[in-house]
Amino acid sequence: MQNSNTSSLVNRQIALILFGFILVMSIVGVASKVGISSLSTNNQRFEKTVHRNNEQYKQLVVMSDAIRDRMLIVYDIVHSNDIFEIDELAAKSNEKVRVFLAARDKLSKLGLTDEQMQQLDEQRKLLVKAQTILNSIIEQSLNEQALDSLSNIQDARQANTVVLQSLLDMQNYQNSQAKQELENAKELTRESGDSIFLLAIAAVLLSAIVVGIIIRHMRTQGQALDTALRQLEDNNQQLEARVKTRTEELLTMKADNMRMTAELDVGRQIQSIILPTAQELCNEPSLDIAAFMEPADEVGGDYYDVLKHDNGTYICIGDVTGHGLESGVLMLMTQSSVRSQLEHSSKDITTILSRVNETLYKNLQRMKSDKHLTLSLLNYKQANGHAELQLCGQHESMIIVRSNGSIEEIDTDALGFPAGLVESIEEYVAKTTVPLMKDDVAVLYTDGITEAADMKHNLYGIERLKNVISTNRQASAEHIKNNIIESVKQHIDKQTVFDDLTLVVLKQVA
Amino acid sequence: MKSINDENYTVTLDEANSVININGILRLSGNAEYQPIIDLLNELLESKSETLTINVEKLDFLNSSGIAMLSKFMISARSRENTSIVINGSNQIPWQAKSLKNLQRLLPSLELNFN
Repeated sequence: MQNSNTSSLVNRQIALILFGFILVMSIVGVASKVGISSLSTNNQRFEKTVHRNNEQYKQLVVMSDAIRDRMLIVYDIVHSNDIFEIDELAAKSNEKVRVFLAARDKLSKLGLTDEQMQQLDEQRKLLVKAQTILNSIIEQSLNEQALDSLSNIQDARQANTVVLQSLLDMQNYQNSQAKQELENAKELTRESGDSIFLLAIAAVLLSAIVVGIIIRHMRTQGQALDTALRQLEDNNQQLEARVKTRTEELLTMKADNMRMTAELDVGRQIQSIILPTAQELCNEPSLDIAAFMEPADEVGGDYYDVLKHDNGTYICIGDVTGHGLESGVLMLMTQSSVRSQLEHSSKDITTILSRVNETLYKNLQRMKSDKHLTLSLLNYKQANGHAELQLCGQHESMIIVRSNGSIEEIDTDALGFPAGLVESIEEYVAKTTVPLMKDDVAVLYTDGITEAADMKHNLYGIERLKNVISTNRQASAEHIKNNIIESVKQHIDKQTVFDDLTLVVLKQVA
Repeated sequence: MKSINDENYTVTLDEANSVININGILRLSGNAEYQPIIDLLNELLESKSETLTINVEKLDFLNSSGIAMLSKFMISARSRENTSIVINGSNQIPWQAKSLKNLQRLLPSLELNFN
């Protein structure tokens, strides 16, 4: 971009300079042309005038010579006695008359002034008179009347002298006229010179103006170029800064992305890696257990566990607030803590819950985390044909569907407190005992199930859940679980799954 | 009157009447981000008034850090025997039923009003 702009600018300047040069040359050329043509017109006029004057003068000379010659011839005629010679001289005299008349004719066609024409007219009268006299002289000579002719010749000479004088005047006039023409020509030439000089000055001034304009234009262009270059430099710097910032951002984003991806992977693994195996679910002969967990796109903190113990089977379900690695870590700590308490400290679920809360609270303080979890602990015991579920800890309600189809909803709000939120929850923890008969079904779940939204954001809700359990209560725990999941998935349809889905179905089989 | 205004939430402390109003959606991350609101709550707790009121009727969502903040507030309030605390909440907002009742368990004297 920069190069093409600069080169086009340079091209424009070159074009401008060329244009200016051509303009100046054109002006000078026009001035010269005008001057030269004016001069040559003057020259032509002058030449023409000189030529005409010369021609007029020549004719006048011819006329004068003819008159003079004729006078001489007449003299010869007068003094001659030989008739033949007189005849011959008379012929010569007539020849001179023709010469005179021819010259006069030519002269009259050379553009004479009115005055000259008048002079010529007057000469004609005198010449006619002289001619008559001469003719009579020749006649008298032929008739040998010499004396008469001598007196006549005097008259003729007088007339011719007047004519000659007139011709001389005309010649003089012609000369003065030529002189005047020369002066005029000189004046014209001088005027031409002046106008050429003026034109030259005008050309120089115009050239100066053009050059000035070009320089100003170039300077403006130069300034514009400077500004553009500065702007470009600024832009470049800004761009560089932006590229740098952006690169840093990208690196950060990449790092964040990698971190998040890693977190997601780790979180998923944490969540699934610690789940009980299928085998562990089958360790209690009188209790049919089926469990399901499906994490949402983002890692959540749903938790369930089934732990076999001398004192029966312990079932846990919990839901850590929020999402992400921290939630996963809290879930993991909860699992370890519960197992540790159960195996090495206490069989009582309320005691386990209180101690787990304390452990989690202290760890969360260390983590500077405000996360906590709803957590219910259950202890299934079976002895002498009697089975019961002890339940403690605050979580979602537990649903019991009896074999006869009656449904119970055990609220847990009063059985505990969110775990990890306050240092001690001992005073809030209580347990309730639910006896289980053969074919009774108990269902534990997280709010991912009941709050699963459809396309119109209607929640799945506890009533639908109860209905599905009730409808399928005679089937196996696995079957009931599958039907619930199918029903929830149908409800969700194409809506995004916002939360982990966790479900534990217990069925008393003996 | 002191207030915190954000795109998603507003918090206003009416010192004269010892009332704090928390509206909107609170999804702040951790103690640090909640500190300005915690400061206002502490200021409310320091007032000489006998009754302190927290209005959350228009608080549509409160995340776990927010619940932790309110829980700590209730624990702090336990030591003030002469001060009674009232929380006005809404039945229409899902998080409030269980969480506000838990607050009451932390501070049995807490007066909960749902409308």
